[in-house]
Parts: sequence; C-alpha cells; structure tokens
Amino acid sequence: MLEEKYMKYIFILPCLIYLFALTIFPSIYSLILSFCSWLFLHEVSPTFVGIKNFMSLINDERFLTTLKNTFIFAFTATSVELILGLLLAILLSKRTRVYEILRAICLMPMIATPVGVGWVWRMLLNEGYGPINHFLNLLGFPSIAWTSDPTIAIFSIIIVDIWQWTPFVFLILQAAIQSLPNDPFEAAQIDGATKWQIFKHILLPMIAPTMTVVYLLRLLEAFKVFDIVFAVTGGGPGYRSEPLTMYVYFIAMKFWSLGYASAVAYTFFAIVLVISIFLFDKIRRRMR
Amino acid sequence: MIPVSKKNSLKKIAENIIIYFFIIVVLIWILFPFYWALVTSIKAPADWLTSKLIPFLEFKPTLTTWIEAISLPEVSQALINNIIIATSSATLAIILGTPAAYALARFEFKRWKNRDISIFILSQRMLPPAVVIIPFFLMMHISGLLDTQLSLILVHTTFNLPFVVWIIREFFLDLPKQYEEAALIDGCSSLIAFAKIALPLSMYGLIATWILCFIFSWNEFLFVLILSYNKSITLPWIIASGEHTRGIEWGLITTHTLLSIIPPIVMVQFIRKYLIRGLTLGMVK
Repeated sequence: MLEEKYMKYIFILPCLIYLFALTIFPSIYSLILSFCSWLFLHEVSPTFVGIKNFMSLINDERFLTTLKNTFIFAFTATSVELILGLLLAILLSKRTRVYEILRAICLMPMIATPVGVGWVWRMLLNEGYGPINHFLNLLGFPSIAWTSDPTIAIFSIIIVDIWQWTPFVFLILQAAIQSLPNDPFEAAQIDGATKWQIFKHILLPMIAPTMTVVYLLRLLEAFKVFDIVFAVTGGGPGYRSEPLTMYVYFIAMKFWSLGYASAVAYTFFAIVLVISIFLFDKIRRRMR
Repeated sequence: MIPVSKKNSLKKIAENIIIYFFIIVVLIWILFPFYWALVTSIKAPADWLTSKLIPFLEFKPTLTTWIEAISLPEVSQALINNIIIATSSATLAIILGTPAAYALARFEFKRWKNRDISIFILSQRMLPPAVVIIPFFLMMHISGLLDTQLSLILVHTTFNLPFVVWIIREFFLDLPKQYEEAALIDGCSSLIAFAKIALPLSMYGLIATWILCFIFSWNEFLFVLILSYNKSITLPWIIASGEHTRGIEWGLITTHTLLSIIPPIVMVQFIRKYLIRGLTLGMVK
C-alpha cells in the first residue's frame, strides 16, 4: 500500500517541523547574531562585526565573574546533593513503611514552583527578621548576612538548590540500592568484610552508573540556574551571585545589546555542550 | 545465647533510634519552608516580620491576606493564564509528540537511524534557554504575539515536546508488539493499529506524561518574564514581582507562592511512580 509506506513520515513530521521552526531555526539565528552588533532600541538591524563580541568577552569582568559563579554554584551544589543523597539512601535503605511517607514528602521540593521556593527562602534567610538567623541567635551564634554578603550570597543559593534537589538524588539512589541483588552482600558478610569494605568494594561500584547519570543530569540543570537566583538574591550584591543565564537576560532585556548577549549565550552553550556529550554518551548506551 | 541476642536487640534499638532521628531531621528540613510559607500567609501584617511559628499560641491566625491576595484582579488573571497555558502546551506537546514517539518505537527509518532521530530530538531539550531568549523575543515581537497566552503556549511546547517523544517512546517500547501485528495482518492500517490498540494500552503513561508537562509549564518563569508584561503574566511572574508593590509584602508573596505550589503537589500524587522516571528522562525506573 502506498499510504502505508508514507505513514511513518506522517507520524513523525509534525513533531520535526515544529522543532525545526521553534528550536533549530532560533538557535541558528542567535548563532549568526553572536557575530553581529545590534543595539535593539537604537538600531533597526544588526551589523556584522566578526568575532569582536567574543574578543570583548575576555575583558568583560562581569562575564568572567558570572562564569565563575555558575561553575562554583553548579559543582558545589551537585556534589553536596550527590554525597548527602547517597548517605541518606544508605542510611534509609531498609525502612519500607516509613519510606512511602518519606517518598511522598521528598517529591514536594522538586516540583514546587522554583520562584516561589526562592522567595520563601529569601524570607527564611532574611538578615533581620528571618527564622534561620533567629534560630542561630537562640543557639548563641551571630546573625549571618545570607543574601547581602558578597561571599556568602552564592552559598545561600547553593543551600536552596540543595534543599530542592537532594531528595531527588536520594530517591533515585535509594531505588537503585533496593534493586541490587542480595548475594554479593551476604557473601561479603560471611567472609567477614567490614561495613566500609562492603560499601567501597561492592555497593559503590554497583550503583556507580546510576550515580553518574544522576550527577550529569543535575549538573546540566544546575548550569542553567535562573529562577531561584532571581528570587533569592536577584544576582546581587552587585553581580556576585549572578549566573550566566541571568547575565544574558540582563544584557538582552535590560541593555538591549542583542549581538553581545548572543555571544555570551553561545559561549555558555559551548560549556554546557561538553557536559551534554558525556550525558548523551551514557544515554546512548542505555538506549533500546 | 541469651546475652548475645539481648545485646543484639539493644544494638538494633539504638540503630532504630538513630535512623528515626535522621528521618525526623530530614522531614523537618524538607517541610519547614512549606510550613513557614503557610504560617506567614495566615499572619496579620503586623506579625509578618516576626519569627512566630505556632498559630493560636503565638499569634492569632487570620485569612485577610488570603482574601486580599485572591481578590486582586491580576492574581485571578494570572491563575487563569497559568491554567490555560499549561493545559494547552501540555496537550499540544502530547498531540505532536505521541505519533512521533510511536513512529520511532514501531517503524524503521532508513536514512537516519531511529536511535539518531531520538537522540536528536532529546538534544533539543538540553539546549540552554539562554540561547533562545533573544530569537524567541524577536519572533514574538515581529509577529505581534508578545504578551499573549499563545506565545507562551508555543514556547513551553518546544521544551515539552522532546520530553514527550522521549518518554512515550519508552512506553510504546514496553508494549508487546503482537496485538498491533495481528491487527496489521487482519488488514488494519497502521493508523488504526496506533489509535485503536497502542493508544488505549498506554493511556496511563500518556496521562502521567501530560501531567508532568503541565507542571513544567506551570512552574516555568524565564520565558514568562521575557515574553509577558501585563495580559499573559502567570503566577511565577506575580510571585517574582512581589518586591515592587508596596515594599516586600511577605504575607502576599507566601499566599501567591502557595497558590502556585499546591496544584503541582496535588497532581504529582497521582503519578508518584512516574515522576522520577520522567525527571531522569526514563533512564532511572
């Protein structure tokens, strides 16, 4: 049948056309724009300037700071999440009844609106009135300027991200541990292995693939952080806690320098691409 | 023998105490921000900037903030926008994505392998939003769609569509092929096999995926910030602009936050099993 031959294309084409029109075309457009200069409010059309935008990046202190912020944020937050999640997963691996309740509650932070989460944390971390400083004072510690101290601000955002995503890592690793076969552990116990040896030589290698995937997924998401920073510190003080996505947003929507913003975005994209390649390699291997 | 088992049971009790202690600490850590938001939303304005935690005992709870928050016309508008945008974009993504997922699971593509097409589609989801902020803004500016619900429906669909294809493809791969093959031998077209057999059999997965798309769109903030300023603003926009109204109004912001947080939390309870699978793109089941 002629119709049948073309059926697969009829199934898949609408989706591909949509993606071409709304992601491929825009990304190519902004790649071209990154070699242009275009002050949107003053100039009608972009002018080609070659690699000038990319050259200016090297001397752009705000770009370098936001780049550093993004790296510090992404690697610190995801590493803490992985370690805490693993510890909790090991500690709580056998409690089946409590687990159901715990699981339902663990799902809450990761699906709560990030901007809202950010605002609630901004209140919790408020220097003068927030309950966290209130609690610290009760214990005899001084108040901390969580969102206005230039060195601490970024760690406040990291704390919020840890709150939001550690339960996610925990749930995945807990499920991974529960699905492991019992035999190797029993054999090791009979042979008199210590708990640390069992952890290091049996458990860790067995869940390492899952840990890698979870870590890469989290890292990729962490590099794109925007919402919680917007709510908790607004990128401040100055731009000391500003991530790259937010810098692109400011250049594009506040300074209206569309060419330069595209150049920053594409440099950022190149970094994310490296992580994506690692992740896609893992995905490909697991694919059916 | 008896002392040993006694020692063991003591050890077990001590272990249990430690584990339950950890569970309680974790629960307090996770739940406290939600509790704080709830408590602040029922405080009178004079109590907003205090650390009072227990209603009735430490302060008199009141619903005035809730009434004020809900009666603001822009809030009810934002709530309606949220519902329209999230529903439409999730539905559009399912309509476009399900047939594509079926094609990738059941047919064989020759020139480009199925696996490559799937990876290509998924890679579109990994694209950092920063890259498409400007083209999206320009496209909506030129077509006059800025500040409309349609612009946000289209944009949210671009992020949901790769997700839908990827996840639903897995659901179709999980289905046994025999039913559809039998139907095809009986002379059904593959369209009929898809609509009458594969779709009904994977209905639960489709609904779960729809709910996840709904939640992604519901919570999305960056593009709402860029493409809306008045008519098509959503709850995240309202929450984020809390600062500008009359100083920071803690009660109002927590109320709006709760309005925005509660629907996803309720919805996700129906698809608990699929949330992790969805969020890890099917790599962890």
